[in-house]
Amino acid sequence: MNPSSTSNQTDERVEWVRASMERHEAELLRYALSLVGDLPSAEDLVQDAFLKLCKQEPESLRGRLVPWLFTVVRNQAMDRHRRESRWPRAAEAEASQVAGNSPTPSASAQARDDVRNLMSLLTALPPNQREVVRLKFQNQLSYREISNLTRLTETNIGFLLHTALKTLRQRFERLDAGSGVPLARSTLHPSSPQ
Amino acid sequence: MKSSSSPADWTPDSPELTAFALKDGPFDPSAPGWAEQRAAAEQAVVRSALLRAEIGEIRRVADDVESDLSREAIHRLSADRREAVLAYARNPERGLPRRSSDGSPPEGDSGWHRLWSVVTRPAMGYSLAAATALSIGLALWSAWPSGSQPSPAVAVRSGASNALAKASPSISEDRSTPTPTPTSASASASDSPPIAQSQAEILRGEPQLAWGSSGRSPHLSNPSNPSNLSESPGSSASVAEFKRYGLAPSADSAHAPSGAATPAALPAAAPVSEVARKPQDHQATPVTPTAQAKTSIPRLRALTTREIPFQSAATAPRSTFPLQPGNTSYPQIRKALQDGQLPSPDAVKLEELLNYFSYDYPAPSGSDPVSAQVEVADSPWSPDHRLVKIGLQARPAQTAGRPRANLVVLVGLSPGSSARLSWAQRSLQALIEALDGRDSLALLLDGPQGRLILPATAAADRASLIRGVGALRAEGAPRGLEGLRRAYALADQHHVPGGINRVVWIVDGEFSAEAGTRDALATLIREQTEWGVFLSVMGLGSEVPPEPSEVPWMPTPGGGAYASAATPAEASAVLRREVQPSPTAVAENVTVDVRFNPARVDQWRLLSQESRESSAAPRTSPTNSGAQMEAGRSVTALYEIVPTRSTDRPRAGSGTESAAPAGGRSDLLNLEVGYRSPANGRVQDPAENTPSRKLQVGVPDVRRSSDAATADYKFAAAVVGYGLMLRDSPFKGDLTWEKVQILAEEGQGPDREGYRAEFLQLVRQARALQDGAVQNGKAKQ
Repeated sequence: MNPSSTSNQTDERVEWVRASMERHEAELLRYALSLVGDLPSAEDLVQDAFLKLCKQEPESLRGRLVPWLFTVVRNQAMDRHRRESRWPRAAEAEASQVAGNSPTPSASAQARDDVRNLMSLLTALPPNQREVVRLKFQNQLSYREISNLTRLTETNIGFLLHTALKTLRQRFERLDAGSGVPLARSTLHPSSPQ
Repeated sequence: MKSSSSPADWTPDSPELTAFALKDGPFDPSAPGWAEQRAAAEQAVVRSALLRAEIGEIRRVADDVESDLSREAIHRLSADRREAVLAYARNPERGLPRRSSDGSPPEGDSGWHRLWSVVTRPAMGYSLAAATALSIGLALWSAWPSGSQPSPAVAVRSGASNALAKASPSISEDRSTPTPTPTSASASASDSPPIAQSQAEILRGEPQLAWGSSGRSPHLSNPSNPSNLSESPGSSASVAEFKRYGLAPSADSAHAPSGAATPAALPAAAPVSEVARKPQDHQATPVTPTAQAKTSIPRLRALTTREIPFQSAATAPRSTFPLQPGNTSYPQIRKALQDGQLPSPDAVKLEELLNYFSYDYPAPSGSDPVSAQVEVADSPWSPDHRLVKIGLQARPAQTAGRPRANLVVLVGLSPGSSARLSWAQRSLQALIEALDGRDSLALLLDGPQGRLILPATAAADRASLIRGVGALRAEGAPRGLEGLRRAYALADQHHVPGGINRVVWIVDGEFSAEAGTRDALATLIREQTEWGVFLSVMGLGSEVPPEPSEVPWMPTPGGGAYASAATPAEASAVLRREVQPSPTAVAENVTVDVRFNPARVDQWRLLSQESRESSAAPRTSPTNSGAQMEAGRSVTALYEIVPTRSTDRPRAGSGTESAAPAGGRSDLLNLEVGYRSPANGRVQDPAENTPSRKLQVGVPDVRRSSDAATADYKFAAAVVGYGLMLRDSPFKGDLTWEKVQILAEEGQGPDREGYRAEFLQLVRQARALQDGAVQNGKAKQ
């Protein structure tokens, strides 16, 4: 084999892995964190997934890189769970994953509250619903992609999402009713005088 | 996902409804048979307000969840982990490195690990850029393409990727010392908002990243080429159409072009700043040095319009005038003056100036849908001539019969435009006054927090509405897409079947949707329009509507419309019209026939202009058949008449005539307005095209000084005189700025909305500019 072509291939592969990492590590970390509950473990999962990627032919994953990465992360999390019986400590993790990114202090406090509220509501969902919600709304996967990843049927995914959204909606509403702040979440839940 | 129930059986609790709302599962455009699925579902949904409301709810919750999730902290792999991966990629034979979290050096040669850390660091910026470029290439799906074919609209995620490119390097640098604990996670998250926020902006709603594996073919687009931004041809066409009717709200735009082939239908003049003024034989307009300096690339070019000259009443005794003049000229002039320039004479259109203002005409009496009023006096600029002012007034709209209105007002003004905020408030108050007790109004603030200021409230509770308007604030950069989604969700919740369901979006005149969200906006607006929720966008403080490429509204006629309001009065007028249903014609096939009496009239001219190319005598016969007059509309025309010598004798008379018996031999002219009652949905019989009814006014010749004319007459003369001065018209006689100003001052009248006071301002500005130019010209000689 021509040594220069081999070195070219290696360069290409390194670039491919690097680009994949740049692009997908953040979403994979979020997903992994939601599965295992602590950041170091999540980083382990994601790093492992990219190490496995190094062994793959770019051509073989063309067009299905993201589902592949998600699948690897998920399978490893399952293995880990079986091995260590430490399936999600997600409750703590999700409550701690709160970002403040708004321009004013009060606005950012509001944003934090929103995220915190959602996280606490999410953790109250069954794990399978919680995962599907994240994959759909955070990772923007389609029903079919989620179905491939979780080995559940699309109908099942549809049902899980439907149920989860219903529950979240009811809880949002209850949250609004309970909080004395009329303009907080209630921006989205106006009560009609009619 | 196989649909377990047919859409006809759907209830709000069907999981399929969620899939439909999310456009996923069987409603994912890549799913087999999605087009049929979608069509069946749409049928069911359109029929059921309950399902529609539920879909609105589902989308709202989905948006919330997505938005909240997108604000979660963003983590990245620590630098040493990345380096370990890359080193392994370069040489997989070395064996797997140990994880850094294990606390021990990687397997194999521990030296390579450090070596790579040196090599990869400088490459970071580059690779980020590469990754960014790739992510730009990802196409967004307009998940709900129109028609049965999945025709993906392509958009560029430039907004998100810019933010990524900017934000990521600093983050990855922060991560060089990884301390991955929950505390540091939330701390580092405060560095990351640009990513979280912009991704949230872009990814919210329909558009999804198109993973190739899902069967959706990603359409790559060149991020550097803005023309790739999806713009349906229809959309830009309608925007262009609408530009000509700068003020008209949506409903009008759908109807207005149906008028006669009049100047209204001529292409709008080139933007004032682009047209250099070239001194023309009789139309030399001096140019101020400042004006020259400000005209960036002067393109010398002949004027394209000229005023319609005098015609002989003996050979051409008949005339007509446009019933739907355009309304771009006045705002263009105002804009030019505000920029310290004199407008191009081509931009000065006499009949548009005249009709920018409304005049006090009596409402039609009895069964007549239209009234006519004619006033005659001596021409202020050529005292030997008469100036005839003709006004037609259509019967006002009947509000009693109109359906209930469900209005959601979304206010998205940037902070710092407090003046505009107060306009918005004033115009909303005007809107509230025009509401009926049964109507409802909700107020949403578009900003980082998207606050609901006022839930949908019955207009009977006026105090609450006014309080809500008073509570409006500008709280931060409007978010556009997200705000509009919420507004639609609200409108959906209170959908009035068969009523006026409308979202009114008040933005800064300069507002343009963020590039990456335009496609989603267009899709959203189209969908909502299909469901009968219409959109009106009002840009405050802008003279000229934004470029079509920046406003993806109006994918379908009537679906959305852009009205720019440059003054508070305009804003009020625009909003008040919101509650009117699509304008109803009170008269159709309207023809205007002005017949001059050759015994009294030697020559006449319509104060208007025509294309320089146009030959022969224009507008000498009623060409505006088929035009309709909408409720409440009025139109005004001015004729200048050179009387025959024998008629120069003064004669007593009020000078104001309406609907007097026609045909007298001493009449100056006869006005005949033919019309038919509206078809009201009946199929028109082509044979019925002749007007079935006529309104006739005989206008006796009177001689009276313009000083004795009504305020409206003086004001109309001032406005047209202003145009003559700006055009440096060969017909301006002995007109001076002084005279224009006096006429305008005397013609102020009650001026309830402040339009006329503003005009007076513009007269002073133009006068100062032209005087300055003349002074400069003299100084140079």
